[in-house]
Order: sequence, then structure tokens, then C-alpha cells
Amino acid sequence: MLLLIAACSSGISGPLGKSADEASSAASSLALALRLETSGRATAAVAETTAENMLDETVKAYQSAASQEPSDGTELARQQEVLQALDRTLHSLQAARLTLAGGSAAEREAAVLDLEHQAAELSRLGKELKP
Amino acid sequence: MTGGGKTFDAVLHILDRQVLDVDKLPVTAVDDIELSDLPEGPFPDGTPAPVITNLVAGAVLATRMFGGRPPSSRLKRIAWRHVAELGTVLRLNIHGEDLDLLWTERWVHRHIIGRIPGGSHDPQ
Amino acid sequence: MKKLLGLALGILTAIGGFVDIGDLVTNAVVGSRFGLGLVWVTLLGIVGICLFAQMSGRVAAVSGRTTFEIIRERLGPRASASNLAASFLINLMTLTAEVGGIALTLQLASSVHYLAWVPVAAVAVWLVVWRVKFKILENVAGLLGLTLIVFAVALFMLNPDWPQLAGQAAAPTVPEGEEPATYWYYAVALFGAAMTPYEVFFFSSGAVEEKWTVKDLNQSRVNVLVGFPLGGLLSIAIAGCAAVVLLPAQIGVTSLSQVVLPVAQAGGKLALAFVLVGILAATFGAALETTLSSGYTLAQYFGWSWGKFRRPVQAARFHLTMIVGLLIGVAVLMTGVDPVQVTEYSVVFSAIALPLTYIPILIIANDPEYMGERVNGRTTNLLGTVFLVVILAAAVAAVPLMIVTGAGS
Repeated sequence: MLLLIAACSSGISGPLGKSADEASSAASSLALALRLETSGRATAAVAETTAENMLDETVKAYQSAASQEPSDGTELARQQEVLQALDRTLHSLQAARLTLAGGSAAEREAAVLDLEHQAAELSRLGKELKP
Repeated sequence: MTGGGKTFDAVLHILDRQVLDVDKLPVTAVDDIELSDLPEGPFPDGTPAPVITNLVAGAVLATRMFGGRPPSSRLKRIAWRHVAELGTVLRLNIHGEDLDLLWTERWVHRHIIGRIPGGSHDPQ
Repeated sequence: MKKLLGLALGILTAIGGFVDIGDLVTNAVVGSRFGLGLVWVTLLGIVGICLFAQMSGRVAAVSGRTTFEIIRERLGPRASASNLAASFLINLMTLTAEVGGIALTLQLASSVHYLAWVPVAAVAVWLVVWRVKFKILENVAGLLGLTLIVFAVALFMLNPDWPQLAGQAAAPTVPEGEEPATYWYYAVALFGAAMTPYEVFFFSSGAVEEKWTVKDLNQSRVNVLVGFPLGGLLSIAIAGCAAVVLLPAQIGVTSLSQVVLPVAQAGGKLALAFVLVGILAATFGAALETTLSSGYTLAQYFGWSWGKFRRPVQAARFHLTMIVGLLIGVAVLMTGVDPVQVTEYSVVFSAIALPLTYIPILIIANDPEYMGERVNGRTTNLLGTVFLVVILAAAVAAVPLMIVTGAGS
């Protein structure tokens, strides 16, 4: 019970960090699935399903981050930073999904690199926010 | 209660036991038992001990758990004389089809399960 | 020769039948977040399920009575009714998770959304329960489930740093960024996944379905003691694959699609095909077992006629229960609730309900009225008692850990 109270009182950086981690994991997952599909190791169906699942996951993370109520200017700035990163990731996920439906090899490669970049960015944010 | 020299504890050995009919088809679990009536007031010496007259099943299970008593007319009974064997299960000497208390099984059979194709065939 | 074949078949089915959606998801989640740091729980769970499955099989073979009949006889109507209610609900939750698992696997194979597959999966499960012989349904699902060995093959093909994996397993630590409470929450979840109570209802009722006698006890003992540990190795291989590929990439498993990525990385599309067949067979087999268990528990409590060896019309209420159970599962899934989350909750609730199933079995296995001379030996009782302590500890710890960790998130 004490832990629970402690978790609640530590402000919004914990939940924000969690959202960042979840979205980071989602971006990495789709990057991995796309790489496997490009190299002929995974089927298009697996890559498409992964894309759909990871989009759902990131939307949930975004909603959770957006529903946090900042109590001061610092927290507000942090929340904005996370939401912007999540927004860029959603964009990257959608773009990557589009390349599945007939993008060129170069477009596919660019989408994977973009996802990996977003994942690294979110992971860094997550680490900063978690105590 | 004694039967054939072996002593049975009604609560331990009869209540909640599985009842099988003469073809070993499960009928019910023993939800309660009915005993013969005792005279009102203090018992005079030499009053015979009550004997089990019926096994009871159905709605009585709820009242046994939560208290109260269902009206006697709603009790589903199996007469004690139909009990052929007492072991870890109770064997009857009659067919389950003849028992009133299996009406739910018959109803589900007739109106639902029996109407789905393949229900009366052996599994393959 | 025929005997040997029968023995081999029994063992193979036990291996293939060990893993279900709970084991798959929980092991992959744990592997991706804690590496092999919780392998000790899986090992503990395997010993436990061997001990108690074997015990319930022996009770059924010797006394001809199944777990729930005896639970009612020994605990009386009131205590056994609450036991029934809890066991039935948790089994229903597991059933929902398994049907969801079938649908998710079909989505992975076809990219058609899983909600479209849910009714298809449920109808297929019902048809098998309605028409197919017990022996066939058990063997086919078990044998096809053997293709999950591809997880073990994949682990070798990934050429991992074995000393590092062994180190994670031998000296468990909580990784950076994870709370100790989360570690223990998943320890309870893994334990619940390995020891899921429906396996015991199914095992003891299956013994009656197949008309086991004391003569069959040796065969069943070999099936359990060889098959379950080998099946448990598959669980560890699932965690291992996740630990090697997903943990370093900072991917925490939240969906079935992530579970199969390491296998694809290791063995390409062929391995992927095997793993999808394996997961489909495992979840389908477990969906059959949980569907039957919903009928078994209710029918055995009330003393209804039950069993696959009878025609459906001779066990009408039993079959109606299973139909209603499947319909409830479909209705829950159709709300759009995430099947992976249902799975995660189902294993933790299973852990909470473990004492309800396992304490009565231990008591009955010691009752000479049912068991005659075949009551538990001293070693079995000692082990059983030790496990009872572990089971109680897991059950008591489950709810507080769930609250503190926000269900592991």
C-alpha cells in the first residue's frame, strides 16, 4: 500500500516515462518485423499484424500520456516533449505501414531507420523521466 | 444407521455423494436427505430411531446452503428403497428416466441438445 | 511394440499439450523483460504440476471419481460452491484467452483482423467437442503442438551467448529499469501459467473418459513425468528466444506478433510456419480442454451426466454448459478487449485459485476410503506439503502485487 501511495505521489514523470518506453518498444518491434520481412524471413501477414498491433500500442501510450495532469510548468514542458515524440512515432509507424503495401526497397529502408531513430529517442526520454 | 453390520454416518457417507442409476448413468448428487417423522415433544423411551426415507435433490441445495426450507411439494425425491448399494457412490436399482428429478436434463435434451444435428450419434 | 508406441504417443501428447496461450504469452513477456531470470519459477511449476497431475490421475484411476465430485463430497455444499464459482469463472477466463489466442494466430497467418476469426474459432472448437472422440482430439492437438519445438531449435540457431543466459538463470537479478515488485508479480504469473488448475480438472476427468484403471497408472505416470518436463523445456525456450532477441532491442512483449519475431529471425519463413501451426494447435488444444473443463466442473458438482464417451443427448446439460461457456467467451472477446491482456490476467487469477484445487486433491489422495492402499507415499506427501506452502504464498501475494505493480506494467 505504501508503494502504491509513493507511486501516486511522484508526479507525472513516472507515467510519462512508461508511455515513452512502451512506444519505444513498439517502434523497435515494427522495425524488427520490417527488417525480417525485407530479408524474406517473415511473411507480409506477420509484418502487417505487427504494424497494426504496434499502432494500437502507441495510440494507447499517447492517450495515457495526454491524460496526465501536469501540476507546474516543468511538468507541462515534459508532457509536451513526450507527446511530440509520441506523435512523431505515430507518424513513423503509419509511414512504415504504408511501405508494406508496395513501397520501394529504399523507402522501406528509410522507414526502418526512421523507426529505429524514434525508438532510440523515446528510450532516452523514458530513461530521463524514470527516477 | 447400520446396514449389514457396517456403520454409516449419513452426513459423511451419503450427503453430497454421486447417485448413479441402474445403468451407471449419473443422476444427481445427494443434495439432502429426508428422515421419518419423530413424535412431537419429549421422546418416550423406546422410540425407534428415525430412518432415511428419501434422498432429495434440486432446489433444496440452495436452502441447505443459505437456510430456509423449500415447500415439501417442490422437493425432488428418490425413495430410499431404490438405493441398491452404498459405496463412494450410491447405486440405484431403477432407471434415471423414471425419476421426476431429471426433468431439467430431459428438457435440455428435448428442446436444445436433441435439436442440434449429430447430437444423438456417438462421437467419431 | 504396440505398447511402446502407446507410451511414445502418450509422452508426445503430454509435451505438445503442455504449452497454452498463458505459457506462451507469460514466458515471452518475462523473457523480453527479465531474460532467463525467472526460469527457476518455471522449473518449480513443472515439478508442481507433475506432482499434482499425477496425484489427481491416480485418484481418478483408483476411485473412478473426478476432482470436483470429491471436492463437493469432502468440503460440503457451501465451501465447494464457492470453490466451484471461482474455479468456473477462472476457467472461463482461460477459455476466453485461448479462443482469443486461436484468433490472434489466424490473424498472424492471414492478416485478417482477429475479431473476424473469433466466431470461426469458437464454432470450430464446439464442433470438435460435439463430434470428435476424446482420444482423437487429445492426440491430434498434442502431436501438432509438438511443432513448438521450433522455439528450442530457434534458440540454438540464434547462437546466443550461452554463459550469459546460464548466468541470468543461475543468479537471477532484477534488470535495470524494472521494480522488484514487478519481478515477483511475474514470478506469480509464471507459476500460475505452469500450474493452471484446468489441467487438473481435465486430467482427472480425462482419466475417467478413457476408463483408466489401476493398470494404466504406470503409463500415466511416465506420460506426466517425462512429457510435462519436456513441455516445460519448451516454455523455457520461448523465454530464451525472447531474452536473446527482444530484451537487447528493448522490446517488451505486448502482443502475439512479437512472440514469433525471434523465431522468424532465426529460421525464416519455414520456422515461422512451424511456430504458427504449433501455436494454433496449442491454443486450440487448450481451448478444447478449457471448454470441456467448464462442463466437467459444473456437471460433477451437481452430479449431472457428463463425458465425451456419451452421446451429447445423454449428457445434455453438460453439452449445454460448454455451449454457453463458449458463447460467453466469444461475447467477451467481441467487446474488443485485448486477448493478450485477458491471458495475463487469467494466469494471475489462476495463481490465486491454485489452493482451491490443489488442497482438496492432496487431502483426497490421502483418504483410504477412496484410495485403498494407494494413498500417497511419504515422499509424495512431503513434496505435496512443501508445494502447498508455495501455492499458498503465491496465492496470497498475487493480489497485493497486482495492485502495487499496476498488473505488471
